[in-house]
Amino acid sequence: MVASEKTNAGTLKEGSRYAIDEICIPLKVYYGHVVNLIGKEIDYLFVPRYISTTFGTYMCPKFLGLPDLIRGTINNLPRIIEMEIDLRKKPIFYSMLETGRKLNGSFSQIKSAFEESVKTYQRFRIIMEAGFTFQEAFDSLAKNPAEVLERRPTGNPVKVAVVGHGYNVHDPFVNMGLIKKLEDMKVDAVVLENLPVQIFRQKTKISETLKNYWGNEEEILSGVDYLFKNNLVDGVIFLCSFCCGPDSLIDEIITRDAKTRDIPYICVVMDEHSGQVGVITRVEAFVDMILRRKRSRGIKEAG
Amino acid sequence: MSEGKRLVAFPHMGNNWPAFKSLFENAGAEAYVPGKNNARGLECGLKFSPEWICLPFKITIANFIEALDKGVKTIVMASDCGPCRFGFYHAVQEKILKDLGYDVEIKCLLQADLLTFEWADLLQSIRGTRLPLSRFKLLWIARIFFMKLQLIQLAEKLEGKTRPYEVRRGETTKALERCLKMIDEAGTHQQLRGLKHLIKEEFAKVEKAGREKIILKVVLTGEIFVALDCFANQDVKKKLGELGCEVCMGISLYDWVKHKAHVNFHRKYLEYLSKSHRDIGGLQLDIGGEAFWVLGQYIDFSRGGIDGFVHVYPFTCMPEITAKSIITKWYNDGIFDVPPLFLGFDEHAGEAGLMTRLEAYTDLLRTKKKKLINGN
Repeated sequence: MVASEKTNAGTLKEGSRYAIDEICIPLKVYYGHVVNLIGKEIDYLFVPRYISTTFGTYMCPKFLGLPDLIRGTINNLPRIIEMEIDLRKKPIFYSMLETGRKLNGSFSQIKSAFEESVKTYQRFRIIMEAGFTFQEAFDSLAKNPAEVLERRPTGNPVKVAVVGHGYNVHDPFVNMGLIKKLEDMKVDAVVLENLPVQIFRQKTKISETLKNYWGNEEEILSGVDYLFKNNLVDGVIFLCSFCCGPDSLIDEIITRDAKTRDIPYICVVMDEHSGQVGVITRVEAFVDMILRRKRSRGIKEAG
Repeated sequence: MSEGKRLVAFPHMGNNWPAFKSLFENAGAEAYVPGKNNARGLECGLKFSPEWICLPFKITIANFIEALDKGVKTIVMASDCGPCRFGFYHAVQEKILKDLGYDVEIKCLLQADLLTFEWADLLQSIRGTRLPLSRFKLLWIARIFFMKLQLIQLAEKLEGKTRPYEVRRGETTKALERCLKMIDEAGTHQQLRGLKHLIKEEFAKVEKAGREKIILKVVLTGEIFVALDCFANQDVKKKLGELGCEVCMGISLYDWVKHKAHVNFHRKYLEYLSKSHRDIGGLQLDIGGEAFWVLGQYIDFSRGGIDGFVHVYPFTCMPEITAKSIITKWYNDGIFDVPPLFLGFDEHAGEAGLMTRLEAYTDLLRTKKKKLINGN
C-alpha cells in the first residue's frame, strides 16, 4: 500500500491544474493527492464512493460522484478500486466484502481485517474523547495499545470549538495550522471528535417539516447543539471551504442558533488563495473578543 | 378574495405559473401569483439570504417577501429528499422569514416521489376547514395540472423553434405570452385539448423570413430553475434565438414531474447512456440536480443533429459542477465533438459580458457548420 504525501503547496497546485475553477478546495486537494499517487507508479487506486454514512442520510453530491469525477477528469489513471459505502441500502461489512473480493481476499481474511480496522477506529475515538488532538491520537495509535494516556489539564482561560468537515479541520495545510495557532494563543481547541459518541446518534431537526439529510452536516449540527446546550465552550469557529454547498446553509442555521443563545461565533471561509495573515488576524480578534467579554462578565459578577 | 378561501402563494418559476395556479385554485384555495422575477425583488432577497447560497434560493425568497407584503399567510414551496441543497430551502426560508417578523406558514410539496401521494395531503390541507376532496377530484386536478404543463412545454418548444426566423423582433415573445394567457384561462379538459391546435396556430402566425442565413441548432439545458426562468438566466434563450439559433429545450417542468411520477422513459434512456460510459467517467447514480441527465443528454446529442450545447447552472451548484468537469474533459479530449458552453449565474448580472460570450460562441459554431456544409 502506498499513501500519498501530506498535503503541501505542490498538492494544491497540481490539483488546481486538473480541477475546474469552481470546485471547492477539498476536491482540489484530493485531485492533487491522486496526481501525486499516479506519479508513484501504482497498479490500483482506491477511491471510495460515499453515498451515506448513517441510515437515511446522503453525503454531498461531489462525494456521490467522486470515482466518476476522477475517472472523467484525470488521464493515465491506474485501475480504480471503487468502494461503495451506502448505509441506506447495505451494511458496511457488505461493502468491505465487495472490495476485499476485488483484491482476492478470502472471507476470513476480510472479516479479520474488518474487525481489526473497527477496533483501531474505536481506540482512536476513545483517545480523541479523552481530549487529545487529532495528531496526538494518530501518533499514539502506532504505540503500544496497553499504554494508558492521560491528558494533562492545560489551564488555558479560553475554550473554543473548531467545527467543520474533517478534511478541513484536521488538515493543517488547508486550515493553515489553525489548531496549532490556537494552542499558541493559549486557547483550548475542541473538535467534534472530542465529544462523546452517543450525542451523534440522535437525529437533528431543522424544522417541523424537515429532517437533515446530510451525513457530515448531521455531525456538525448535533455537535454544535450539544456544545450550545451544555455551555461547554466560550466560542465556536466554523471552518468551511468556499463554494461548499451544505456549509452555506448550515452556517446560516448555526449563526441564528448562536445569536439566540448569545455565544460568539465566527465562520472562516477558506480557498486556495487565503492568505495566512488574514485568517490569523480574524481568529486573534475573535479570541480577544471572547477574553474581553469574559473579563467584563467577571467584573459584573464580582461587583 | 372570497369568503373562507385561503390565499396561497408559490414561487414564480419561468412560464409554469398557470399550471400551479390551476392546481391550487382547483384544490379550493385562492392562488397568489407573484410578479415576474425582477432585479428589485432579487435585491430584496439578497439582503436576507445566506451569502453563498445558490441563486434560486435568493429569487424564491424575494417572491415570498413580495407575497407576504400583500397579505398572504400560506406559502407552498417544493422540497426534495436530498442530496443537493434544494431540500433545505423551505426550512431555512421559513426560519429567515419568521426572524423578519412575518407570520408565515410554509407548506412543503414533497416531490421526492410523487407516487407516494404526499401532494394529495398538501392539497387537502390548503382547503382549510372545508370538506376534503374526493379521490376522483384529486386525480382530476392532477390531470389538469399535467395537461397544462404539457401545453407549456409545447409552447416553449415552439418559441425556441420560431424565434430565429421571426421578421419583427419580439413577436415570438408576444405569441408565447398569448399562449400562456390561453392556458391560464382554460379550465376543463375539453378546452385544454383544443388548445394544442391553437398554440401551434399562434406560432404559425408569426411572420417568418426565409432560410437565407445558416440557422444553428442549440440545446439549452442545466439546472431546472435557471434553465426555465428567463430572469435567472438573463434571457439566454431569447438572446440565442436572436443570434440565429433554434433553441431546443433539454428540460421542462413537465419532463421533471413525469420523471418524479416514474413514467419518464426518455430519462431512463439518458440514465442508461450515462451509466454505460462508466470507463470515461459517466455518472453511475443520481447525484442531485440534473447532472445525471445532462451527461446523458450530452452523449445523446453528440450523435448528431445538434450544433451546440449550452449548460446553465447557478454558481456553486454542486451536482452541475460535477457534470461540467466531466463534460469539459470529454470535449477537450475529443471523445465527443459538440462544443459545450457553460454559464454559471448569480446575482451579479453583466449583460454585455454574457452577450459577448454568446456572440463568440455562435460565431464559432457557424464557422464550423459552414465548413461542414462546404465540405472542407
